[in-house]
Amino acid sequence: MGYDELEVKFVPRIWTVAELTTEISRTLSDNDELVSCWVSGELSNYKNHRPSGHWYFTLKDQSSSIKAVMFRSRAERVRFIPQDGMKVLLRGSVKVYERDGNVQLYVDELQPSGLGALYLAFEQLKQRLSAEGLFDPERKKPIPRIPRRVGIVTSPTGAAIRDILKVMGRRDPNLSWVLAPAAVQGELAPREVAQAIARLNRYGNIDVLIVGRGGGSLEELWAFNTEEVARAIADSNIPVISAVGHETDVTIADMVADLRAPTPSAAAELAIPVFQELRLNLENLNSRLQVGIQAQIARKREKINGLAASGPLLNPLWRIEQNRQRLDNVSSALQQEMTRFVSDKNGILKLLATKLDLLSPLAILGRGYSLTYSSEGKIIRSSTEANTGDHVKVRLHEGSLTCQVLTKEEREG
Amino acid sequence: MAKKKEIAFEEGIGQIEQIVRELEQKEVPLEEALKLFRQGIEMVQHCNHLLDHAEKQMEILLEGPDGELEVRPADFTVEG
Repeated sequence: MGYDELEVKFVPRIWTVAELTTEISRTLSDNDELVSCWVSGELSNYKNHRPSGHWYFTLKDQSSSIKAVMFRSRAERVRFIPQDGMKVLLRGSVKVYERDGNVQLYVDELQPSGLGALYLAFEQLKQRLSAEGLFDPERKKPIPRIPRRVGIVTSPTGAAIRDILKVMGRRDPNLSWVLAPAAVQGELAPREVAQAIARLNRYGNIDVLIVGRGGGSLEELWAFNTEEVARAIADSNIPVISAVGHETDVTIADMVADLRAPTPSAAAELAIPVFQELRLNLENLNSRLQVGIQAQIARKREKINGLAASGPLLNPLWRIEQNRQRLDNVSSALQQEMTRFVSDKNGILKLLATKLDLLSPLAILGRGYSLTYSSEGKIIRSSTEANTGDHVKVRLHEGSLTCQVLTKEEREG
Repeated sequence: MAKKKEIAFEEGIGQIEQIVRELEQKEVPLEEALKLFRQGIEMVQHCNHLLDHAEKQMEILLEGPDGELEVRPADFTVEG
């Protein structure tokens, strides 16, 4: 195809610079690979810009280079001080800086290389297992407070087993334990640790597992950042306490475990209560039990005493005495009534006698009246019953008179 | 009694705690109080027994090539 033909067949599009950079921008952002990518290389021209706090550097290898920016908010999280010539691994997105038309790396995370590769694997596994829910608090099994037998997964020759057994012996010299030996570093470590966890689960009769090793470099601890170990811990029916390295190293195993201990010694302390405290606690409960039942009985006794002090139960003869007293009261009242009744009757008798007396003719005579009888002894009530010259007898209060009728009047007014 | 043997120390302690709380906190009819007390005392004895008779076992659990579990007494001692 000749040059002339091309000119005839295609009318070229004329971009403005702005259109071009916008198009490059769009193309870059359409590519998922470039929106979040991991890049390894060597740092050069590192500059911590003041006062913005943004970092500017160039990432390069033998044949090429690319400019990179790390904004302050991201740079603040970087745990080391970057230096020119340092090999690094970074995560970021590729974008166009439209003012210069430069393609730049906008960096989100920065790690020293070597460690960087492990870190990358660590982060990816962490995200994957987290998305699966393996770190969820709801998955965590409770650690038994008082285990009867402890299972240990570690190297039989390492520092961890010595530390664990030392603490264990101090806290509870009689506690039983089972060690499932496993290499804790090197290529075989992940498999051996995972198998040892599964083996203890198969063996059974174990209340809690301690899985770990002493402190070491990130590479030495690596078995505890592998998926194989993480899944073995997650699949364990026995609660697992992780005990990996020293306090600052948080491994995937720590995140999956039911409880994380910062060191093997600390794991033993978390798993095993102090025997003497158990004994004391039991004694304390025993004495509370004694006091409790005594208090119950004392309360009931008090209640009985309270009831007994209230009248009837205090003196069993009380009611009889009461009745007797009542009887006494009633009978003396009766006596009084009778006396009064009788004396009242006397009064009535006197009254009646007086009335009777008043009616007696003798009493009437006493008041000066007199009775007149004819010679035949008949009471004369009218002057007509006597004649002049008759002798009549007049009965007085005391004695009597014989009288002659001299005159008589027929009727007195 | 056979059933009580299976009660773990922790569970036994829990039962005693429950009984103690009941006796401490509320008025319980005498017969029931005595029953609870008797249960509590039995459980204290059981737990004491567990503490006294825990026979220490130290074992190493290995796995044969055929996947068979192999238990050996651990023979190493720890200083300190």
